[in-house]
Amino acid sequence: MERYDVAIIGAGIVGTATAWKLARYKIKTVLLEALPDLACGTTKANGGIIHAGYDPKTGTLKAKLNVQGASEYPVLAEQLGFRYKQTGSLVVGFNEQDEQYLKMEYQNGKANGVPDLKIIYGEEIRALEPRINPQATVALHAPTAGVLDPFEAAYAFAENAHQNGVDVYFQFKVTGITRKSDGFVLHSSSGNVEAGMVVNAAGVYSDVVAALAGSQDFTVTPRIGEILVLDKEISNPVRNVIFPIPSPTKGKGIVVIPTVSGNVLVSATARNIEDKENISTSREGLQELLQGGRKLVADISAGQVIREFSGLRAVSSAGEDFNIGPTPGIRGFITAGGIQSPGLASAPAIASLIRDCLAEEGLVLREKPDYNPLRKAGVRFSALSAEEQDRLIKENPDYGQIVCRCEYVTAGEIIDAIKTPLGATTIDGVKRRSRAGMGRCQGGFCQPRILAILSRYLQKPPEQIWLEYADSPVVMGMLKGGCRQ
Amino acid sequence: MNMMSYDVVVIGGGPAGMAAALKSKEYGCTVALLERDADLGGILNQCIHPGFGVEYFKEELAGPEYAGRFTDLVNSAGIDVYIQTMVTAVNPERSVMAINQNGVMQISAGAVVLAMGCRERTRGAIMIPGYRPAGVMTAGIAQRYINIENLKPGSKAVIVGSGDIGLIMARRMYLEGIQVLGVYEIMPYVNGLIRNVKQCLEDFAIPLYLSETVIDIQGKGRLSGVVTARVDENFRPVSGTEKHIECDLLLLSVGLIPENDLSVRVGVELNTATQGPLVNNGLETNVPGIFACGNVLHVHDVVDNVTREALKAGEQAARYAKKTGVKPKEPRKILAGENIRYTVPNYYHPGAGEKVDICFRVSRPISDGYLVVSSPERVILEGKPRGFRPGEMEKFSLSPKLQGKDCSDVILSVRRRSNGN
Repeated sequence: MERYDVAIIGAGIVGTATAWKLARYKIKTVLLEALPDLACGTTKANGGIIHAGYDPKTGTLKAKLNVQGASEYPVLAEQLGFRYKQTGSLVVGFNEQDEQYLKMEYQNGKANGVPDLKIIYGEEIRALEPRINPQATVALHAPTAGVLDPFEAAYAFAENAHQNGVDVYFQFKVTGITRKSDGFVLHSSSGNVEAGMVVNAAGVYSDVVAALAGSQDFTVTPRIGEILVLDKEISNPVRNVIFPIPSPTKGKGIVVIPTVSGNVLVSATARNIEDKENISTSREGLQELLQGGRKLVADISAGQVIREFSGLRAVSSAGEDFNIGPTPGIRGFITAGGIQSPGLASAPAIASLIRDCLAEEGLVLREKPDYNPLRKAGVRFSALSAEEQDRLIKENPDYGQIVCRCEYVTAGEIIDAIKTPLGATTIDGVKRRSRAGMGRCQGGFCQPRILAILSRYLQKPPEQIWLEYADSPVVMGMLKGGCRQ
Repeated sequence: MNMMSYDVVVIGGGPAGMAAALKSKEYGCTVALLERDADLGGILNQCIHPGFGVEYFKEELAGPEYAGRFTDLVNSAGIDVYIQTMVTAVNPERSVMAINQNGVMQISAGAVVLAMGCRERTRGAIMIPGYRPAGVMTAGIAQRYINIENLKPGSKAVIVGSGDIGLIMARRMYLEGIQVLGVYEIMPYVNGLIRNVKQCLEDFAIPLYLSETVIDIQGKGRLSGVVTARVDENFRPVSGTEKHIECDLLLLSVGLIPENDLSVRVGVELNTATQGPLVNNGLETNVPGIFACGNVLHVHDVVDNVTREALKAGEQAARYAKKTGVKPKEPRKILAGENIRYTVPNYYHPGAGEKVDICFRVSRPISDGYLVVSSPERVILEGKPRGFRPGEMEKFSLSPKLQGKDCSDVILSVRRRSNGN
């Protein structure tokens, strides 16, 4: 049985960021993921906002870690090669009561240390955001807010961790935890690993994992959030992340978000549910999103929608704040529970806090002299100039073959997505790494071609290639009369 | 980077692009035909069923045969064909950027013909709620898996939407031993051709459910079932009519959308009814020298019509490139009136002494109606009473005589004869 100093359970944004943070030290770390790929849970299904940090109540962990995390992302995006766009954000009000609320938020943000906040009015709002609902009268502008593709950040964290020596196991669903004098044994159907310390970053399952270790301190209720993806906007795109005034029952409310790729998200509904794997969408939810989106950007229409999905927020019974720290009575077992919004924005800072907790529990951290803080971003063909494209194709003709015609993704990029360390093994894994299939035809042209490339490079027959989760084949085998070459 | 120059550049090597290229070549132009796939023929290559060419070739061909005839003509005509070549941009001065495995090409074109075809509407576009398992796909993807890749997309299928591809795939799957549980159409009428309902559903006893649709998709890995329901006149599910159906394949045949990403980026204006370019009777868009034909212009139900339209676009593009076109007078509008969803073209140039071929579709089925062609001042023509269906494209020719001396705007309508429909 392999023994590690630290085992991280869950390869979402918190787990991958923690792995990245720990990869610089002379310790042996493993990242364990129940699903077939990185970032397949809450991380893949959220709005991707790096909140500026004015919203969490001053003095909370959320406030501290959000502001700290948000300030780290611009640098991390450069070092780790993921796309990040500082869009700024607007919280939009329509009347005097809203204005009072925004002034409170402004003060709260100041106290949290959020830079450059400003209350703006009328024409100032329209100058920043021409698409804003004309009835908007007042807004809180936070220029430091930004957006990223959350799975892209998770891939970057995990790949950098991996290249610096962190092991990653997929389809390793922890089904039992045995406590020993010098640590833990983590059991799964595909084998066991031993670890001196454990980080529980299991998202909506963090209560289940804690219970396996013997802690019944909290439970996690999934709060489902549905999201619409709108087609890319060629003229007059939305520029800022646009929030409504939050409501006490619906959290941050339905937000309009420009993405790093030029799409717009309308995100998200909020409803507590029981099933930790229910990521279905509902008719009512989708209508609510359209209505909510139109309150902020009046011309949003159903005709622009290219996809709907939903994800689960991990709502902890331990309280509104993040629940991060050592577990009473279980030495060396660090919990990262209740990581809902602003979890993505906070992730780099959460990773630092978890490292500090591990150190306090007795983990010895000495920096590796050969740690490489850089990860090279993959080729993004469509973003290159014609000259650069021409040069690249001459080096490797795979880049001269467009597979996804909506997003102009080449065969070369799809092969890169598969061959990269911790690369894609599923159709959706290719999609999230390369954007092939993310466009307006949603894989209608390229899915069979991507399946063929996956089949070739993974050396598996097409019926053994999954869409996303285990046992989700897109085809069921050969038709009659077929034979394999 | 490879710099080139042609009189006419045709984007897309399906039936529209091939016919346009051939016609431009006939007019003495140098022609480049750019096709993103490995073969010419476009979607015809996966349409292995018969029914193509009845009008144009006066015989019934399968899709690949129809494509094959044109491919042979193109290959022997002296047209420069670039396969596996994807156009990434066109600019208003008709400079076309394209890439293939040899590198980037910049082609300067005298005229450009847009013939990129269309794409299928997806689950996301029609917002069916539920889970997102494997096994939910457009009819066209399933057609490719079955006819090109020889892969089985599932074993128990439900089809949502009654577009032609869905109807054809119902029969195709049946013949491959895939159980087809039914076709569910949200509208009270069929979207595809009547002949396909008869030949693809009725002949194989595949049930068709009108005013019913899929309202929920179930299954976390692979599709495990769907819920269907009747819908009211506002297309809302009627509570109490839900049925759960166990299946592992859901095919969507819910419409086609012209693929105009390139066109929009070059500044071509689209018709909101078709999502295709607004064109004059020479099939020229609002960007001078850029023409459109085939499914990128509006979705056709018969390929023979695509070919006819594309021959016209090829001719007009050649004339533009050779500067032999007559300088047109101020265009007049061709407007969609009562019960007409759209017309193509949207403008005509009076006084050219040519007939103006107009295609149109009605917006709903009318069993007893008649075509009315009018100007703002007078009724120009009334057609014979007959039935009209949205699934069938209608054609009408406005002769020079009918254009009249005043050459005013023209409005097409279909009126009902009685109160019933």
